[in-house]
Amino acid sequence: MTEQLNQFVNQRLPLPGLLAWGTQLPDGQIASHGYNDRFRGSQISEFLRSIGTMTQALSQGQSEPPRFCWKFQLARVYVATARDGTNLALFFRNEEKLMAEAIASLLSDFEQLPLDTLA
Amino acid sequence: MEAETAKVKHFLFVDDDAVFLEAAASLFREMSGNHWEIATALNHAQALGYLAKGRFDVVVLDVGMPGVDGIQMLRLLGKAHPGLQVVMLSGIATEERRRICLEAGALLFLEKPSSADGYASIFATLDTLAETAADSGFHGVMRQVGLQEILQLECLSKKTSILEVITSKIRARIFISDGCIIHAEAGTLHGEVALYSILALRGGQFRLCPYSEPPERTITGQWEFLLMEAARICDENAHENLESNVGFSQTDGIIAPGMDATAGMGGQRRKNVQIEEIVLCSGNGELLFDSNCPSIENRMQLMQVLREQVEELTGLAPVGSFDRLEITVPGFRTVCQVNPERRFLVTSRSLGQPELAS
Repeated sequence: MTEQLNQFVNQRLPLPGLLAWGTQLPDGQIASHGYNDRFRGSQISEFLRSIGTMTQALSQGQSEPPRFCWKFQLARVYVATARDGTNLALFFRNEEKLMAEAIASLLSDFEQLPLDTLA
Repeated sequence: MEAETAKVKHFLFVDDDAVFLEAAASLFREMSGNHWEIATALNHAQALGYLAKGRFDVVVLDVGMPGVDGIQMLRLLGKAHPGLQVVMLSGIATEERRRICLEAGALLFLEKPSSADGYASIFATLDTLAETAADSGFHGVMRQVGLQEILQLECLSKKTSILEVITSKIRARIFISDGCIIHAEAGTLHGEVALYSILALRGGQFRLCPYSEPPERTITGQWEFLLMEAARICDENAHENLESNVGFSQTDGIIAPGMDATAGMGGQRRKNVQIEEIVLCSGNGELLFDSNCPSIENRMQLMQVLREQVEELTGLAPVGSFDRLEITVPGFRTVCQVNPERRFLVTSRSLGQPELAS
């Protein structure tokens, strides 16, 4: 994880309801952090590695990378892709009262991060 | 009122797992403030012994037991103690098991809890059930088992019936004929709008009644599509604020090929959405229905990959069972659901800016 990406994440997270986050660089390098005992970093890394493949496949041929929301019984996982191909996954509790604007803002800012921030 | 709350409720839990029995009984007694009286039985013989001696509001049966298993016991109870409210618990909550149990007369089919939240949810469900006097016919409380599941079962079984839903505010009915949803009415609403409104209810009681011809036939769509749309609308209404701001569009009015349901849920913001494609497959991936899909192979492959991926993902982190994947690009949104019974994909296109419904 680059220092700049680390800084971005640290400045914007955590948010209420956030269980964990993870980033995956285009070279496959993964960083993750869990805010809940049940969401350990290693689990998040494996999870991110797994969805990363599908995210990449579904993003091919798209003019803009899609945004994904994986909905599960207990959690929802938002996945956004930055312009250099870095993925950010946010694991939230599956509840109604989430910080919608903050999540949207964070995902949008991540997607628009200047390339030199990530490189 | 106070006397009613203090009423002791009688439960019989039947499970060959003594540790689970002890833990569940202790926990539920504690949660009830000792207003639950719980008998526990390790096998059918012990259970029948209890039933011969006393009266129980609810019997909770484990599905997987050696010898006479839960389903056999359920059938036995249906003959020996008709009208007894039986709830099935299973550590392996497959759709097939659920279907068998509900068809055999279980009131509810629940997954065995594995967390504090799970125990709390089951406690609330059983507590509500115990308050409900057993009427003639099938009835239930909308908590763990939703109306959608009941409707799905009726449709899959090609039943002919009326699903009546009663809340403190409305009485609504859904007419099912030979497994097809043909009419719905809720207050002044009729047709698909009424169906979606009913399925969006968060609580109430329902029962299956003998069929009688509706005043008119207002619904013609395939039940799978109707239920999927209802689930989507319900979910989006629940998460309206979140999703409208996080990039997952709100959808109160739907325009689908051959379908006009733009009335939406009264009084809420409305935005027209055009359904671009629909693909419905069986649990094994056989194509059952498609509409306007530009590349069936591509979509079926996506659902197959998703199915495999979901199995892997749910084992990697404690996220619970998979519900759906939503993929959003500007102006378009694809929702994909896969489960052992069905695989479903629908892509919609936003047709403009939200406006206030009249």
